[in-house]
Amino acid sequence: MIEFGMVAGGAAVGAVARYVLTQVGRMYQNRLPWATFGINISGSFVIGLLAGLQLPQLLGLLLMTGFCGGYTTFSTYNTELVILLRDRQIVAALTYFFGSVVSGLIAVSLGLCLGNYL
Amino acid sequence: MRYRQFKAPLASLLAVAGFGALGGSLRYAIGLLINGPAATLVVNLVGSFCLALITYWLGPMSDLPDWAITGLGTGLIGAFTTFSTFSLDSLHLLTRSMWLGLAYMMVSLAGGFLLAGLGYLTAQHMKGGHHYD
Repeated sequence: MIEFGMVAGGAAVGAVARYVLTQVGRMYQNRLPWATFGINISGSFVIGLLAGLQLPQLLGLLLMTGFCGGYTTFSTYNTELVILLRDRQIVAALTYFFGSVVSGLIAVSLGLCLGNYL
Repeated sequence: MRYRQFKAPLASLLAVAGFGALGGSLRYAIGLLINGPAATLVVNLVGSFCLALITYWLGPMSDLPDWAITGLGTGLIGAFTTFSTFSLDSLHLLTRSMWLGLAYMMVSLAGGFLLAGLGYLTAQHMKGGHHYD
């Protein structure tokens, strides 16, 4: 039960952080969904870092499964891709698609290296 | 460059927190039922379909207040799905076997995109419109 509490608490904070950053992103007119991009890449870096630190189980559930999981989002990424294609923003869609995947992998690798080092 | 005011009403913030806690817990529960990266895959595919449906059907068609739609979409489904675990699982699988990692990424990405597209088209269909383009 305490495990669920950890995940729920972390996810609540992560989701609120994502919501606030997304609303900040909406203040600016952009072709690319930069807010979601920044959230997913920074979250990938942090989860890599935490994975490298080998946290105790409950702390891992709070920060990795909870916070990082709730902060980053896969569904918004895909829905934004669908809308970019609907609006015929092919270059933007491809940039966003590959940019997120490649940057996410680089970010999680860098985080993991740093976490292992610390 | 700035063209819109910052808007994050308290009701929406609370809904995102509450539904976000629920979405994260559901993801964790599925992780207990299904072993390994397959759990994240299932969660991300189901969530991609649901978010498109909530955003493009439930949002415009229901009488639910804005905070409830934000809670369900941004909170519940946003926190249910995860990009960070997807990146971490992809890296782990890639280092174990390049082909396994690439297959996992392909299925997640293609599946997530297709299901979000299907959710969007389903939403347009249920709205009775014919905006299939």
